Formats: sequence, C-alpha cells, structure tokens
Amino acid sequence: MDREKYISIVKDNQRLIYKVCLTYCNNSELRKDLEQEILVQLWKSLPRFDGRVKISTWIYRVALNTAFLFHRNESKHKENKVDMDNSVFFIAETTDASELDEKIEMLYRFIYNLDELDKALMMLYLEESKYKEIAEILGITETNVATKISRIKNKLKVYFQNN
Amino acid sequence: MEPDDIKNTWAQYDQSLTSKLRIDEESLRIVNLDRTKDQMEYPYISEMVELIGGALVAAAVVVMSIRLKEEPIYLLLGLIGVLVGLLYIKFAVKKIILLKQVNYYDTPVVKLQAELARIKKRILKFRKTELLLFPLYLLPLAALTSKTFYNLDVFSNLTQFAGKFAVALGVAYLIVLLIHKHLYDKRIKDVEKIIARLKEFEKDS
Repeated sequence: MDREKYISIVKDNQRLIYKVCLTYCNNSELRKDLEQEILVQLWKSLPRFDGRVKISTWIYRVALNTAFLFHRNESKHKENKVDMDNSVFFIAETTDASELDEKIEMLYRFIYNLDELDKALMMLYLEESKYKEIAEILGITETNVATKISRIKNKLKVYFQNN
Repeated sequence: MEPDDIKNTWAQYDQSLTSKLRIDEESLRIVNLDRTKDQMEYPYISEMVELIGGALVAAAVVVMSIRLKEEPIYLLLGLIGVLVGLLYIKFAVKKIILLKQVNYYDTPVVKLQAELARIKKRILKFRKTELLLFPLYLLPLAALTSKTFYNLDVFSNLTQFAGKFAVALGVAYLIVLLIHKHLYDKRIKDVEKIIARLKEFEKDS
C-alpha cells in the first residue's frame, strides 16, 4: 500500500485511534507502544480492506483487536518495549483546563474500570455508532447490542450520581 | 448527569479533539512499519523456531542411531527419540496451522478473541503433552550423545544405570507435574475464563 494513502487514512481516523488507545491504556509510556502496534496492524491490514464494511468499522476492528491482545499481555510489554521515542499523536497546547476535561477524565475513569468488552461497547456507544455498526465491529447481534447498551447506560447513570 | 448529557459531553470532547489533536506526519513517514515486535506474529515465529529446532534434533538422533545400529539398546533408544521427535514436529505443524488460520483483519472483535482463546487453549494442551514427553526425549538423547561423542556407555553397568535412570525419571516427572499444575493448568483456567466471558457476551440476553 502507498504510504501517503495510509497516512491520509490514519489522519482521517486519528481521533478514533487516539481514543481507543486512551480507553485501553492509562499508562502514557505503554500507550505509545499500543499506538505503534495499532498503526502497524493498520498498515498490514489495509491492503486486505475490500470495502464490504465502512473504513471506520474496519479500523475499529483492527484497533480494538490489537488493544485486547495488548491489554492481555501488558506485563510483557513492560519488558519488551517497541522502539519508538515519541507518540505520533499529540495534543496541541491549550491554556484552559475546562470543566469538559474534568468530565472526560471522570468518564475515562469509569471506562478503565470496565472489562475489555464493555470498554469497547461503551466507547462505541459514546461515539454515536449505530447498533448495526456496533454489531458488525463486535460480532454480536443488534438485539444484544441494544440490551448491553441499556445496561451500561444504567451503570453510567449510577456512577455519575455517586461521583 | 444523564446518559444523554454524557454523550453530549463526549461529542464536545470529540469536537475539541478535532482542533487540538495533531498527528506527527513526519514520525509516521519515517517509522518502519514492517519492523515491529509484532504481537500477532510472535506466536507463529516461536512455533516455527520450535519446528526447525525439533527437526534438527530429530535428524541428529537419526544420525547417532545409525552410527550405533550395531548395539540394539542404542538403536531402541534412537527409535524412541525419533518417535518423540516426530511427535514434537507433528505438534509444531498443528500449532502453526492453527495460528495461520486466524484472520486477524477481517473478523469482528468477539469472534476473533474467542477464536484466539480457543487456539491458545489447544496450544497450551499441546505444550502440556510436549512437556510430558520431554523426559522420554531427553534421556535417550543424553545416552546417545554420551556414547557418540564421549564413548561413555551408560549401559555398561545396567544395575547402577537402572537406579539412576529411575531416579532421574522420577525427578523429571515431578518437575513436569509441578510445571503443569502451577503454569499450564493455571493458564488454561485463565483462557477458559476468557472463553466463558466471551460466550456470555455473545448471548442474547
């Protein structure tokens, strides 16, 4: 695959990749490794993308699958780090520590405490993905997605009431 | 805060990322995307190494057995060694086939994770069997090597050897059982938990 085309796809989906990394890894050092691993897997997988699903669905699948494997082998990564000094993604300097940041931090704290499958579901729910797309990404039925989202909404409500 | 408010907050966060999140295109251009400590390729590479190593050792056992073919006891040990070696090769090939069947890139998350967990469970069971066979592989190999390279005949004093052999085998199997209990059985239980969790997640409830 042409590197420029790949860069353009990564750029178009950078928020998605960034959020998957943040959802699955709260250690900034390890997060760089996860980011690198996702970028490599995307590079390897994109030549096989045949357009049957949306590109974002494809990227979610690759990113989430990579994050799951990474998460399970986190201890190995501490000893076997990928050679990369800096993160490819960075947040431009801002002066305002807004109320939004606090709420988002709280939300990430809630997500970190979920198991790996519920983390994916929660993220896709917040991303306003349609049930059909969530079902395609996760490989479960739409009815199942609806049920699980309803449960997760209740958990979320309780969490924000108590915090 | 209600779920809809939370979604709105997330949407604002997404919007803020649109303006704040930057990508270092230069890093992405220069990073070698083909060179990685690849999470997905690692098990496959490790099995390939085992296959090649197993084949080399089996070939060495065959050569040593042929050289010692005049001595039936060594020929018998050679046969045992080759048979166990062939079993190792068979297991390595089966594991490679299992790992090569995985479609990492076009499989939904729950299905891929379930498939990987099932493969991992099978591989762990193969490893348990391999470990169980290991003393049967090591002892003929040690006897053949001693005779071939140092002309040391472990059967010259059969009574003494039988005693040492029994002790060595006993210790080896004790170690094998301990490794099974504290490493593989624990790992298999962990994988079974993952499989159970994935099944539960897949269920329409």
